[in-house]
Amino acid sequence: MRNYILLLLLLSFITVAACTQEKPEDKTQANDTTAEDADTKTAREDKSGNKSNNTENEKPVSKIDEYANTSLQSMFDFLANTQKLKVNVASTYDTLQRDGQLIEFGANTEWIIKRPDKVLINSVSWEGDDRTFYFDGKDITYYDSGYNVYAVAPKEGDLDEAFDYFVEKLNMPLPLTELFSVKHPFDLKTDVISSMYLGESTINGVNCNEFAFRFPETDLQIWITEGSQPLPERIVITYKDSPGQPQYKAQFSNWDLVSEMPDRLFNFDPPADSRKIIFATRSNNSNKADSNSKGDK
Amino acid sequence: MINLKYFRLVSCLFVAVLFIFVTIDFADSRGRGGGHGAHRGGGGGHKASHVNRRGPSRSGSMTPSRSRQASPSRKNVNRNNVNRSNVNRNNQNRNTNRQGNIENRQGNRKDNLENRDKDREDYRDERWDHQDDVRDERRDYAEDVRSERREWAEHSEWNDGIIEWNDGAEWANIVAAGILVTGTAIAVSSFNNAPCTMTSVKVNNQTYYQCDNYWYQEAYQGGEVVYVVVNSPY
Repeated sequence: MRNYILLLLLLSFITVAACTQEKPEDKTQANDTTAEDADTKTAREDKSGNKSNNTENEKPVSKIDEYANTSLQSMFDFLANTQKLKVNVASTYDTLQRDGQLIEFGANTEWIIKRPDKVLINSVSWEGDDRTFYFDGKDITYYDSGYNVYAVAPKEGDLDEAFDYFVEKLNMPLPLTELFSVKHPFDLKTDVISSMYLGESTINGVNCNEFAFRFPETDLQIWITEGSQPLPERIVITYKDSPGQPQYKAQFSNWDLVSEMPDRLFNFDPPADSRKIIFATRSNNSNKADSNSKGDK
Repeated sequence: MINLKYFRLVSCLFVAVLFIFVTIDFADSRGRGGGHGAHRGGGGGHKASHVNRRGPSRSGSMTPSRSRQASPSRKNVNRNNVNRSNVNRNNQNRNTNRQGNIENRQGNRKDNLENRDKDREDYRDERWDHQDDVRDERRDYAEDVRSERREWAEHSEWNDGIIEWNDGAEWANIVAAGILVTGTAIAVSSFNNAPCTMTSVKVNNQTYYQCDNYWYQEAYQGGEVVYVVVNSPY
């Protein structure tokens, strides 16, 4: 009997010893896993939240590639000097949600420009919002086919003035206006933190040169068509200072620089039963909202 | 007799010990492999009306601070920079601590290689420092998100937050909260649920809607169709 007891005691001791030896290893592993998870999460936060110590201490490398700068300048100049154009744009943009998740939205847009003062931009969002921006040199009209409503704001001038007024005064979103404006959005000599030529690539069957730029507020990746017509084929804008670092992406297709564009294309004819509404500007006094609105057409 | 008692006692003890360790190990392994039983939650299927569709990237601008559409973010940029300077300062402190721990550890090793307890303590300190780093960074990031949300909500000129807020609020609460000042924007879905009969009149080719003592006009605001509270057209 004593032997049995001794045997049992021995077995208990061995089991306890084995378990107590094993547990610290498990805990170490668990701690390691936690540390790894933490590292992974930190890395993820580095990407989404731009919060890592390394990132904070890193200063942007100020390296300028003259070929990249010249190519971007050529593209802006070419677009500004193109008197008429038509192009399709498939775009997406991210928005940061309350829980930190980035959600992507998108739209398919057609741009028709006839310089100096005519433009039509029809945009259909993935969610079905169908909106058209008209400018004929005298009025800006914005039509929403879903609600069948339109608003008119008198504005004389060229495309740049119309874009500025619509975006800055009327507080309406109109992506990519900088690309089609005559004035450049920034001074390439002073505003570029770094620029880089990434090489040749093919976008939708079009041979392009790919570039990366860093500006004070955004990072830009752009693919520009090779050859005598340096048109953008794709751009990615990263809002690096915004939480989550959201991106705006645009893919261009069907560039048309030759078709005729009659003036009547840019005149808005209100559809039957459409309602004329106002632009609510940022003033708290709504009477200031589009107080210059003209009467119904 | 005593031996039998001892035998039963030790047997019970052995079985209990075995049971406890097997149970702990099983639970531990479940814990490590967890996740399969995660609560799916949510009443999915419907389209969430409170999804944020606004933000700097919507502008598609390469210079968002020039665009007023991105103004809230422009302010955030400044605040983020302030936050970042705090982060840097914290990181410097943490780095100093960490460096100190490393030096201590190296010194201990030189002085007494057998003093492993100290090493372990330092290692734990370092790990705690690292976990503190992660926690601080998460807290900073969460604060950024909260700040941006607050910024949107507080931007009275734009009324952005109010639109979102109205979506989920009862009409009576909106009125009771006294936010129906001139210029307040109300989402169409909320406006359509107003607990009163809207009457419409046309004045100077503009359509006005009246509900109780308030007047509204349909308007574009920030790219969306909304109703804004306006002064009486009369």
